[in-house]
Amino acid sequence: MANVVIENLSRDFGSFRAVDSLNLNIESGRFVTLLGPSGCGKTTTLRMLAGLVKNTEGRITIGDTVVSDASRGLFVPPEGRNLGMVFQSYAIWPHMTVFENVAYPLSIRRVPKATIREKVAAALEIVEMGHLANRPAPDLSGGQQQRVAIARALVFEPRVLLLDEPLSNLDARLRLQMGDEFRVLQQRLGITTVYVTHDQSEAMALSDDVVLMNSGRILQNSAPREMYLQPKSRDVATFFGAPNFIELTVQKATPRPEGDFTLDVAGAGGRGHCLSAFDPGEGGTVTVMLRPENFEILVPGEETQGMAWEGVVKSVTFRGQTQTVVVDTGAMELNIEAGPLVELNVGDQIHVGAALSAAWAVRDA
Amino acid sequence: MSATTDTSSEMPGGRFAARHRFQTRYIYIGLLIAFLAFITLFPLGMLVYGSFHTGSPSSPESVVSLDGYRAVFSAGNLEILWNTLYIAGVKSVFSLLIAAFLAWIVARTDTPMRGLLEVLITLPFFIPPILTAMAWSLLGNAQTGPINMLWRSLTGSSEPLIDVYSTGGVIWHMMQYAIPFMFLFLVESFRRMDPSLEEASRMCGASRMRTLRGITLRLMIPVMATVFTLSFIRGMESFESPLFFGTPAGVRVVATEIYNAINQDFTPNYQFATAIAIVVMGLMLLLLLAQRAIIGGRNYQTVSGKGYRPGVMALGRWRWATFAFCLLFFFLSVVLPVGQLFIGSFYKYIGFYDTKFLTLEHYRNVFENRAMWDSVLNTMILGLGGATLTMLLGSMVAYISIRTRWHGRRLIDFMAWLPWLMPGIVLGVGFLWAFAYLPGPITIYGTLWALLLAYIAICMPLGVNAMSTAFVQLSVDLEECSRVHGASFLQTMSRILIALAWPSFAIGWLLCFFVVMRELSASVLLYSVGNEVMSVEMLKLWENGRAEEVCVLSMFMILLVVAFRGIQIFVTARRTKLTQ
Ligand SMILES: Nc1ncnc2c1ncn2[C@@H]1O[C@H](COP(=O)(O)OP(=O)(O)OP(=O)(O)O)[C@@H](O)[C@H]1O
Ligand SMILES: [Mg+2]
Repeated sequence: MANVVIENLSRDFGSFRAVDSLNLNIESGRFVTLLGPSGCGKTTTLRMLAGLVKNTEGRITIGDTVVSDASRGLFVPPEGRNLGMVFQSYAIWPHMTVFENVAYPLSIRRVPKATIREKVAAALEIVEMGHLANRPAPDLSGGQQQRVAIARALVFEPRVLLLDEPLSNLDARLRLQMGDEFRVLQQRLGITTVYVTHDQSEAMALSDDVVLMNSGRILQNSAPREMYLQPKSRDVATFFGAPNFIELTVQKATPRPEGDFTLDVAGAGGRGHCLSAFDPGEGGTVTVMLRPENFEILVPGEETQGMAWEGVVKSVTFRGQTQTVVVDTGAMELNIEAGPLVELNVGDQIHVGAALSAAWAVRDA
Repeated sequence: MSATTDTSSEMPGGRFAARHRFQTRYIYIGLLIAFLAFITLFPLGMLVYGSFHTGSPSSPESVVSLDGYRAVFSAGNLEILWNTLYIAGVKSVFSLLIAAFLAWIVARTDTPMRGLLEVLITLPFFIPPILTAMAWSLLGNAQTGPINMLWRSLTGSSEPLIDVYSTGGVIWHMMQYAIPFMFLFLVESFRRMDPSLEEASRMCGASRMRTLRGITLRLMIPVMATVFTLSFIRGMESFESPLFFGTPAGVRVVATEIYNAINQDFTPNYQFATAIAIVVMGLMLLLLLAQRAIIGGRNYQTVSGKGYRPGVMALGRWRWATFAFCLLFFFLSVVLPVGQLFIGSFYKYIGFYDTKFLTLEHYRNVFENRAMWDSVLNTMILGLGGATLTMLLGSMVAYISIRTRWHGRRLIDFMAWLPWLMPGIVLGVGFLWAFAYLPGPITIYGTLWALLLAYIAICMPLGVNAMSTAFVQLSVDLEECSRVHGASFLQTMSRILIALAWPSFAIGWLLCFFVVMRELSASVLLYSVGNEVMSVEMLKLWENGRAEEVCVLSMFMILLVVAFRGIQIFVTARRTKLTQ
């Protein structure tokens, strides 16, 4: 197991900068996901870690060895980095059996035959493929190929495991199952893992840390819960769903022991409290993010720690698991995802609120 | 009726019309089967008949005998079969090594100008072998060839560097065709390989070289086995190479033995010629079956799902070495022979390259030679007619075997592919008798029709192949839509399919035209005086020692080749643009 340090990492394709001065510190044993829209440079970053793409600038350190340093012209090729990688297409070699596929990295390392047999058996056991060791690789299903690819990447005890959208070729149900299994496996082995995906719920469910990227830069790097509830910017907030943004005036800021602030805010037909990472100063304005699914429908007169509004139901769309309600508060419209049990009709007068932890002031950048 | 009205089967007229169409369709198919049988099964039957009889079908003293086969398997003649296999085998091995290397360079490295190199490497394939054979006869002559003269003057040695009149010469000449042929297949499959298969190997700790050996080349084994078999079969059929370089050196192979048995011997020995033809076809069939058995279904699905750019290896300074290697092949297979023909056409005597012998006399002679122009005209007529008819028939065959469930389609497909296993010279012998003993008042032998039919047979597998791939890709809905709207079978065929598949049709057409233009082995048996084609006319001139005029004619042919190849590349490029 090893930690990974990325400093000022960049990659140019001609005049196009696919990855732009990335800085990232991955602690040993962590599961880190690179997340972002298509074309944002996730794969390029991962392949630079692997050594399959040469970085044009910056330095990569894995464990205590520098594997690439553009300023010194140092570049360790992929076979010298001792990293395991799982490809989107699995890249299972069709001219070999399952056993031969998994044994390949070991025979490259000239491990004795008997040891190879033991280690391959153990690796296949981990991914529950022991019974299929002698299958020719082309006869495997997608999920099975996925497992073999993981076994092959783990069998030589690499320092770091890299995965590029490994689940995207599976159907939805298998994707969930394989994802959960893989997370359990990773935690058991404690192997440092860098995982690329553009599926936000997959990223949230699997990772210790999510690195959200856009246009070759990191927007935010934090734990899933924090990324979701306390985004650093409006861009990060909008990447996960379609939140409500409300412009409010700050009346008072109170520091909290956690290091952030509780703001007393007012405007847009209501008043209340929200959380903020910064102190905008008395009289300043902030944009408060409220996710549709974090509203509650209150009984008249009920108080909340956070914010509350009176309004009229403008439209209701029943979706089964939730219903989408648009509430007109006079000054603005709120989009709310409510549970399926409350019966709402257009024109109803309602009282909606959000808990203090659901109201978060974001920077506009 | 508007275009959207369905042909309603409730109306009596509609049902009658449907049955009527049903019948005309079977008439067309019946005609097609009859024609295919006539150009494939009939000559094959004549070959089998001939191999078991001492004389022709009309000769009264002809009896059944196994003498032909006995002669083939006699000690002296077994050498012929051995030579044929040996030459085909050796040239296939060397060609495969070189072609795989060239394909790898073009598809998988950062060698400069790879697009251009690809065009250059495949060009020799399109130059008629008779031209390069003549050129190499001049170039590689042990005494007078410029290569050996240069060698002697450089080294002071009295020994020649090369002698093309040898087994090695035969093999070398065949390789100039086998390498581009194999290259075409291999480069495509190198390109389509999923690069992550190789990257995974690097991640597992394998070096570049180890990956190339353990993964890339292993994955290519099925393709390589296939092209090897194809090349081996082509080597067994090859006529020009052994005719020019083997026969003078006493190297006997099947194709030239058949030719000599019929054309050069005082009394043609048909029984021996047909028997050895049957034997060699049997060998080819065995080879194909063996390849099927070994490779079987191992057609690895290595094509990547994501349209990913294949990994190109940075070679550093070595890329200029690989570049030079590709150019060297082009130089040896095109520049040298074409240059020799070009220079030869301007000198009074080949071999005496002094400016005072520079002349345009040969050009004048050729332009004033009516026989020569007749042969050019004949080749053009046969090329246009043969290519067009083959592609039309090939489209029908491909359509029937791909788009219908009709039982007879296997027979049609089989007959269309049969000529693929019949070397040109063998087909020539078969047709010779088939036309000579044609019952009824029709005379084909001695007319251009004989050549036309032979060319259609030779090109048929090519035409069917070109159209099959196109039809497989076309959506079924389109044609069903047209048929529902009342178009007849033939109308559907021509309107929708040809209209949509025209780029494939055009490319197939051009390939057929190339084949006709270069064809020598069947033509040399089937032509008659007054009905010469270009290749035959050139061979005749050559045998009369008029090499300089042959050079002039060659220049004309090469211009044609370059023009047609240019059109072909253009059409292919447009097609790939259309499908992307
Ligand atoms: N070899 C290359 N040559 C030119 N441009 C490239 C190359 N590789 C990547 N790019 C460009 O760099 C950008 C980042 O590509 P990358 O593959 O890293 O995106 P990604 O975040 O993995 O996207 P996706 O989610 O679609 O896989 C893209 O705009 C892509 O077109
Ligand atoms: Mg990607």
